[in-house]
Amino acid sequence: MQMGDVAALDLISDLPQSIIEIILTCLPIRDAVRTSILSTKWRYRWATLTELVFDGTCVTLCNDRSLLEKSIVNFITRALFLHQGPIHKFKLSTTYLQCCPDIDQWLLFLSRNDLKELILELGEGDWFRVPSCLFNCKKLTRLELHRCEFDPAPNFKGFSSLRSLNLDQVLVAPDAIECLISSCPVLESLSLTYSDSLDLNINAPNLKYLYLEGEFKDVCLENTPLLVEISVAMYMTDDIAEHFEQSSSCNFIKFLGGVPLLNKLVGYIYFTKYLSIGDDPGRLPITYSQLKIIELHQVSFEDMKEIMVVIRLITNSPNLTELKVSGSSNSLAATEEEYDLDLWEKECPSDCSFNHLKFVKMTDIAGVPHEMELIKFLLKNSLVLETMSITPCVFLKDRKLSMLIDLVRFRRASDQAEIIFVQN
Amino acid sequence: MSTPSSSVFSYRVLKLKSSDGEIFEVKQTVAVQSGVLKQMMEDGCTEGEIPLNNVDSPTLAKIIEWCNKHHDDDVEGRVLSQEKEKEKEKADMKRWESEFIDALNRDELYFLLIGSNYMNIKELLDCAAQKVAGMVKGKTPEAIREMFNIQSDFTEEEEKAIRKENQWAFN
Repeated sequence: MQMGDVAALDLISDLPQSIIEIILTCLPIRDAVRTSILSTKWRYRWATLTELVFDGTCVTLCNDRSLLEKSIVNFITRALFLHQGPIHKFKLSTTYLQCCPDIDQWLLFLSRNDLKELILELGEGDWFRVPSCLFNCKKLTRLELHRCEFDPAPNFKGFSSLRSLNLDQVLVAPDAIECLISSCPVLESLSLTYSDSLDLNINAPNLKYLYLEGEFKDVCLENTPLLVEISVAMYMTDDIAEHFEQSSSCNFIKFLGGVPLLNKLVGYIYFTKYLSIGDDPGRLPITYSQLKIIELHQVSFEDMKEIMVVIRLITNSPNLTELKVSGSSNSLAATEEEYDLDLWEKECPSDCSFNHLKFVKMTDIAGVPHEMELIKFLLKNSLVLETMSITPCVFLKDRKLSMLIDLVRFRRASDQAEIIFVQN
Repeated sequence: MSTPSSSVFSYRVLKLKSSDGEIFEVKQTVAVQSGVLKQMMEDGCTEGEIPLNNVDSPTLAKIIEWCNKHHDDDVEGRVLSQEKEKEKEKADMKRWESEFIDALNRDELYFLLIGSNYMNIKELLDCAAQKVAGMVKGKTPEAIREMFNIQSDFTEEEEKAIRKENQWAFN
């Protein structure tokens, strides 16, 4: 068809409603509502959208905060009032709105409209207390809450369809959260961030993705056999440190003892430390045959127990392809005391080899003996290594040369291996 | 249908027939991006020419160009360690996509929407819809009407009434 044939035709108005809906969903909701004035065909097209996203773009900016808040409340109330049919997704993300009684009413309205996805992110100020009607949203598949209080009713039976749960800075009792998690039978993705001093037993037989960030005291992955990806950032407080000193059970086994399908493991801050707490597990009862990517940040190479965690992990992951380790700046304070360098001979199986490890990235390396031993060990046993990238920590001045002198001596099992020494 | 071996080879390429009768050959591994063709392959009914009555040849050529590009660049599928490389490839793909979509005129875009919807190629449909949304965003109703030749069939009073009803969105 030639351009000239159709130039004068209104093609877009006759697109099937399903396509119009995709287009309108791509638009900020204010623009979508404004299409109602285009022609009779467009009059109510926005009103049946099943995904509604409200944010700061709903209203024209002004300096008067209370006016801003009023107009955003007005916008949402009216939009919901004119809406027809099911609302599957409701997202409210704006710093202009604090907790206010209107939100409870919207949620009540939504809970009667087959809500499947709910994302709530309000401004700072008083924390929003999630109303009990939320627990009546039986069809929820995704729930994401930021900065709010959350207290499931005692008779709450769980969200039977919930696949993704994300609680960020949410005040909730530890037993309530455990109970919530275990009462969502198809939960696949769980993210808990900025959680305080939690003792947590996670029982989620279908969980695949786990993200944790906060001050966790004790985390036990009790029943999570399908986990493929774990990312954890642990913070330490005096209280938690004290708790660790008294701990005798093995954190490594409690956390990683039952995840045979793990594919990617990322640990920040004190995660390696956390895993090292408690009795030494000895030979692991588990092999991570699917584990391809390991990232451990801020590993303290003075702490033999942390080094053991690294050794246990990598030697039990026969299909590892990528490894990233960053050192902890604490290492600088170390003196050249006795290092039990035999550890590497003793603890690593003599026939150990990495047949898939291609990329190793070491950052913040201070050149302390155990860091160098790890590099030596990896170079010696990685048959197909392509890149070993080493970034010394910024404070390191004179030791760089001696590090390089050590490095060139190390034997390499892979003739493809390239060592990249990154100067910053 | 002769020997088994010939059928093994013949099923690797699908023959797609556009609404104006042109035949396009597409590798099966590329065609799976279309939900409709994927279903047909699973049902084993892709012998001979597959008529696509809603897609003309210029549009089908565009759709196949898109699918070929996305087949070659399955970035996520590979374990490619250097993040920079991975990110660069993703950014390159984004750039290619927006150039591909931006090069279309309004009517080509319309036929691409229809075609990708008909063949159920979600990524392409989303990309084209995003483009239309970008054209509409922030524009006055008058400007949108002009851009797409939409004739307003409201009387002046009606239009006033609707504006009043939706005052909260027109502020």
